[in-house]
Amino acid sequence: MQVFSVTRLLALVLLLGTAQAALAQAPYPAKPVRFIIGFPPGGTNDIVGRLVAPKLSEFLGQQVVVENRGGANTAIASEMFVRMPPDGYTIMMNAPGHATNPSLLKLNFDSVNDFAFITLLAESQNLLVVHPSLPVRSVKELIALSKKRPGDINYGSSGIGTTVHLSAELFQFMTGIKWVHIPYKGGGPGLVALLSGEVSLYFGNVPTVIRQARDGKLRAIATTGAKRTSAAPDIPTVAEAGVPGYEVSTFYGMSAPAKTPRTIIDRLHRDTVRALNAPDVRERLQGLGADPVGNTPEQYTLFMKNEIAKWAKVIKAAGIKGE
Amino acid sequence: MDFLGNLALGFGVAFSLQNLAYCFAGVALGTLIGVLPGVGPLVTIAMLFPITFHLPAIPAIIMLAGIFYGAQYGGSTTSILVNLPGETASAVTCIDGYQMARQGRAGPALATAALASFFAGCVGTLLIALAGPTLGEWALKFGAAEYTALMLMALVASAVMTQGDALKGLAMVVVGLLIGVVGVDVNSGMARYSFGIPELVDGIGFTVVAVGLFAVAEIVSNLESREPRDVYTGKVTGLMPSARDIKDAAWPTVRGTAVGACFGVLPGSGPAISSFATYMLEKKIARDPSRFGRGAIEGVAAPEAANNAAAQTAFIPMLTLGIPATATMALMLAALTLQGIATGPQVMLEKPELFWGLVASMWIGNCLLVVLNLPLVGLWVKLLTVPYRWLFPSIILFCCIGNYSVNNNPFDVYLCAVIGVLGYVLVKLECEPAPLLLGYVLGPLLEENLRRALLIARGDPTVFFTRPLSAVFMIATVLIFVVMVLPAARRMRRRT
Repeated sequence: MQVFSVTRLLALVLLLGTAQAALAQAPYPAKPVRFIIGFPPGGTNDIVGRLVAPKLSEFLGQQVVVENRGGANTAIASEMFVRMPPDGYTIMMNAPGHATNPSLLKLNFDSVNDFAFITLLAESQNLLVVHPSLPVRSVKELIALSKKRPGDINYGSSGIGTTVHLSAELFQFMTGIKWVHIPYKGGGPGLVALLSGEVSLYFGNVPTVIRQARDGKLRAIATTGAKRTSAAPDIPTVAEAGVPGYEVSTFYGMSAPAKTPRTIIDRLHRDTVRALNAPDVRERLQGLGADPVGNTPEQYTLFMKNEIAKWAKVIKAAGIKGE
Repeated sequence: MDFLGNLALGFGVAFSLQNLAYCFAGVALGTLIGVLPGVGPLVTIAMLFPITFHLPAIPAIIMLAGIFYGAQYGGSTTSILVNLPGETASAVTCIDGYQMARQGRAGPALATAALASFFAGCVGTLLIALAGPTLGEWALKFGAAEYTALMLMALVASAVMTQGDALKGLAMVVVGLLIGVVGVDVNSGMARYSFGIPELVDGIGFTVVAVGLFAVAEIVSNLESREPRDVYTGKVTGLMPSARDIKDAAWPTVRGTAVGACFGVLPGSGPAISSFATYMLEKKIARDPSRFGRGAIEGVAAPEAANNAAAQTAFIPMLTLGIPATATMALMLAALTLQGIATGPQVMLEKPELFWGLVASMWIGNCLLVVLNLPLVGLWVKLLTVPYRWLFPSIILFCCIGNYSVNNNPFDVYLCAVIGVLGYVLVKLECEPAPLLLGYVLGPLLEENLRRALLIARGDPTVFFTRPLSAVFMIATVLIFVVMVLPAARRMRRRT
């Protein structure tokens, strides 16, 4: 009797073992994938993530579940994320904060080496707008006026370390002019301040300021991207209009923890790009002012390295401190 | 006539059986999720808004409006029943609403909240339709100096909030202020009191503070009494408000609506302070102020009206200027954008059917809210007859879920427990949590705007008196202070 039960136990262990092995060898993905977003629900990042996730689920054949973990401009989510097993079942959305945090906060992870970058999902840019009372119509006129009145022009932002703020810092850094920074808590109050003339200058995300510019409540000067935006092809880029090499991108990217097998990265990359090319995803992203990208893991890694280096230089020169 | 024509257009668009069904579904879902403590309108909308992706524009907006009002009202329900505020605005409702529930008057409190909200919602909707653009421009007159003066006035007036010892009240405001400044400073970008903990860099969230201070502390002190006493006196005196209740609540509702509608237009800080402001006003003008804090129906009607009127007029800056006034509005704006509706000054002219359809759907949302919730009042009240030994673990569980759901981070749950301990200590010291919450909300706003005003004025403090609106608030502040101090000073003189 006892012998019998031992054999049974052995058989059971063997059976379980093979089942486990079979599961381990089951082609990826064998279970739902967590997609971490480093912001509380409701922001543009969250919306972009929630736009891409259902389409990606379709192509992967597994549910992609969006999980918000907000705080410290994605740093809190990243800290948890880099400790996740690199098995492709946890992926994360990267935002510009990923590139600026190394220069602003003390981080318990490496912003490049702890990540396996998959692809840039989309990029949007900022639009330099001025209150109509500021007598400038172009980048050149703005630089000339700023040189004549150093430390006199106020510019608003949606907070320290945001791309709205850093766009202006990069502009000052590259042209050698001096403005005064008036930070606001979030884009809404910052935009009100600009509309009321409390500040004269603002680098707002294109969809948030383009309407007011079209209605003549604000004057659009230039966009911050490398290319003109599809949302307003008539407006020149800052680089074209007199500050060559100037570029600020508000990006949305996707990464896995470092050491995730290359085959899994390739699978995620392929299906994400397919999701980005789906007409309804593409259309909705463009509605948010974001142009879908979908570049290779190598291109995205290089992009991130360049961004981190660029902002380190600007943040140091501007004397911005976080912690 | 044009106005009536427009409204007719809006209702024509919104009033179909299908749209009403979506609106009802939205209100029901919103209430259901909004009732979870700590889950305010923002989280509720964020969770539910993917549902609307696949709907056409009009039903999608109508459903979102329903979710918004449902979530807002759901928060008030838990404030009244179990002392659990879902957001800043409903924290004030806790003060008297919960006391009413303990006296067996949960039914009238809930019904009053629903009816006051409905009245305010109707007025708010009418205001958007009639004077939206004008009010939008008015919001632009508020700069940093005006906000500073306004906050100062609110803080001075807040001394009225305290029930007993004025010194304790002041101490509570300061403690709240200290909790409020945790996190990255808006003006310098430096993290304050974060002790190197990344979770503290963004500050301590409102739900964490409010749930810990009100709900957790209340439960702990309830459990202290040896015999498992019933928190709610057994007899429930009527579900609906009596004629006297309605008479008592009528004017406070009207005043609350007016105050809320004004504050709601101000981007950022408006909705949060409107319910505090109106509560102070009611207490100040009441014939017997001592009733407040002990279950005064005015203390439920006025803040609930203010809170809903503000939620309504918060749409004005968004619709007319394209500026989201609050995080919730930012989400609504995103939802509208995804539906291809560009808000802004032109929306009324370019797409009148959408604008007026939205206005009509707001009214329908408010209306369905009352239709859904009045019959539910009886059900909610029954909930209170559940023995406390079953009730309190469930409340604690929901507190944890609510706090966890904001960032999916267990840290917030632990922090809430710590604040709960603080809240219990305060109960023992007979200090009230309301002034603390006020300091927590207003203190950082005052600091932020004061420093901003001085930064823009390049350090010139006269800016607060040379700008007309700011000067008016400053003079009012001085007057309030004098009116409050004078009686006390006179009493002192008589004694000597």
